[in-house]
Amino acid sequence: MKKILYLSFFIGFLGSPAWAENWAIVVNSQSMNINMIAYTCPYLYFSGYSRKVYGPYLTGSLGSPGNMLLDVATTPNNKYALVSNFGQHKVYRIDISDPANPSLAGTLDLGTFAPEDIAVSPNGQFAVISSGGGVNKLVFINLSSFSNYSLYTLTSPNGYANAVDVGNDNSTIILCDYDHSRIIYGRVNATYSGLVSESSLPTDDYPINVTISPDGSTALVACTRNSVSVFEITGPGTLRSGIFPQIRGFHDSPQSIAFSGYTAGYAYVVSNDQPGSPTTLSMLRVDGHGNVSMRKERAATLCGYSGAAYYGIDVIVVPCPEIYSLIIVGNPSSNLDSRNRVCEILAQPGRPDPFFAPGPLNDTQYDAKGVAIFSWAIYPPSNASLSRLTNNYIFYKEYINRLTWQANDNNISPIAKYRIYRKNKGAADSSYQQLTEVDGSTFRYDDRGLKKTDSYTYRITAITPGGLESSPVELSHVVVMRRAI
Amino acid sequence: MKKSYLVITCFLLLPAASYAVDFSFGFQAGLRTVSDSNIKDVYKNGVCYFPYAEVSLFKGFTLGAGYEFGYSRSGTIGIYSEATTLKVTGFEAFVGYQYSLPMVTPYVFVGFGSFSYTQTVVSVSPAVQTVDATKSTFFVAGGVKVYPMKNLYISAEVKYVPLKVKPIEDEVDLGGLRLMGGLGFTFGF
Repeated sequence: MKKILYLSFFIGFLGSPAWAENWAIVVNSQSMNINMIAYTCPYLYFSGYSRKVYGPYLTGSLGSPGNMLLDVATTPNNKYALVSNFGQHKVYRIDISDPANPSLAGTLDLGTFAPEDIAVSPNGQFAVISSGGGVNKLVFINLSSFSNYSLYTLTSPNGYANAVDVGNDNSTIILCDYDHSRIIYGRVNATYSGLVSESSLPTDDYPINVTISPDGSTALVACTRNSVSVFEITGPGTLRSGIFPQIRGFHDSPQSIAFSGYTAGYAYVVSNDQPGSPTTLSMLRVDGHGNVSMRKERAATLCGYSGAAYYGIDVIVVPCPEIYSLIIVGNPSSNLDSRNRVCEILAQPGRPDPFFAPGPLNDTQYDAKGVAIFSWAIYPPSNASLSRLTNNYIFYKEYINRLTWQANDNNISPIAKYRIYRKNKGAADSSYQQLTEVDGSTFRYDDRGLKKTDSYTYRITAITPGGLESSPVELSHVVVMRRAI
Repeated sequence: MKKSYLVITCFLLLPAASYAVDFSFGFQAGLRTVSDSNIKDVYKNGVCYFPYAEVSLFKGFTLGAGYEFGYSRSGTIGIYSEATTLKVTGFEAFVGYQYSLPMVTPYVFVGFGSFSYTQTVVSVSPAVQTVDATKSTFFVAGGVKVYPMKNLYISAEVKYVPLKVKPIEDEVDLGGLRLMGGLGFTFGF
């Protein structure tokens, strides 16, 4: 009869919030590939800020050179990015769950439709895509399958769709009609294949891009005649002009706009200057629903050079909208100056005189266009437990602390390895020392060779392929003892 | 220790020089059982061998000595099923009485032995160590010799050796029965 003695240990669970992994994806229009940018947000006086550019990736998989990859949008679960290939009429789905190793996960051929601006519904059910000038059609893609698309023809007389965005109600869709200086808007139908109704409101001259605020209350339209039109969204598919319908006074031509706050805060405008001159950044103040005003025009000179602006492509993101902010900007124009780079801008927007410090991300490419961000929490392993085993060598015994855990299903990113720390029970947390690392497919570790009186506390963390580490789960000592035979 | 047992044995045999005595040399082999359930689980019962010499003095009184070896068992041990080996050997001296009948001589012995045991385990654990120790103990045995020829005999013997040891932290019973048979040769002066 073999007897194995072991003691069951108490599971102490920290349950602390997971740490986030932040990435941006950039499409390169001519070289037909993408770059990935990992970053950490700055905090007090910009400390802690870091970023690293990965790639380029997928060269040769996203179409042939010169066909123009223009825009990128990510799905809400941060698993996929959609990329438009204007010249070859395709939309690519890229699996970004392992950001340092993105892979092509599907291609849709849109026939004669040349995709340009991509908007994904916040619920992840569908994507809607607009084309270039003089096109009166939209493409709707059901994202649950990414196997087919619906081509929708606008019912508005002479209506064109040159840029598109979807509200956070997953219903309101706003289009820019560049040629007729108006927006066309409505609600998406139940099958996500078109609009139930279409209405329009005038804008300033030549609207080229539209952005809806994260709370779904405000829409800003970049107009190339040096202004931004403001609208308030009052319900699904219903809009009215903002408190200040037009924000004028731009020296340059707005092309892309990004909000930094959920309801109030700031919005940033990327503008084209004279061809060959640097692109610029301006700052708007958002005080509430439809209540937007100029805060600082030409707040910064950026790292890209101006040319003819593209319809609808979204080149600005605000991944870190805090007191010490980070803004990332691609190039909104067709300018292929070899000096072009993606621009990172560290900012203190809340200062009386807002502060902006732009700089080039040198490892990015000259032809960078659309930019999108995604982030997810990295969760520690789940169902972790600690048990004390006694290994009977007959003449003596070995004492073992066995740690077991499971993969946390909430993690989008793959887990490359688990890291285990140990300290004497009751010692300060600063005395934790790394004990070992095991690969991401291992869910057990035995701390062997212990004395009967040894008493330790353990921490286990999950590590992504990019090297980012989750918060720890902590395992502490015994309350239950039992004997198994 | 081994030398001291040899000296003791020679000393015990010295009186034989002044009496009409019979000398015997024999070799036994057989089953060596183990009492401890953990030992039995891991190492099982085994075989052992026992070459010996004895001198039969007046009225069946007998002195002898021998060396037990051959119990060397391998197996796997513990949670991780690590490879292990246990080896037990022993020097034994004994006294007894044997009753001579035509062709058959039953006998009983008591003895004292010094048993060495070694356990090795192949492991990555820093807790694992080699056990190598010696312990002495009394034992009892009984058997019968059958003489199919004048000086040659066949023996069958049962021996019980109690051997509780505690070389490190846990007491282990290395004792058990020996069920042996063998051949021997007797010659007298």
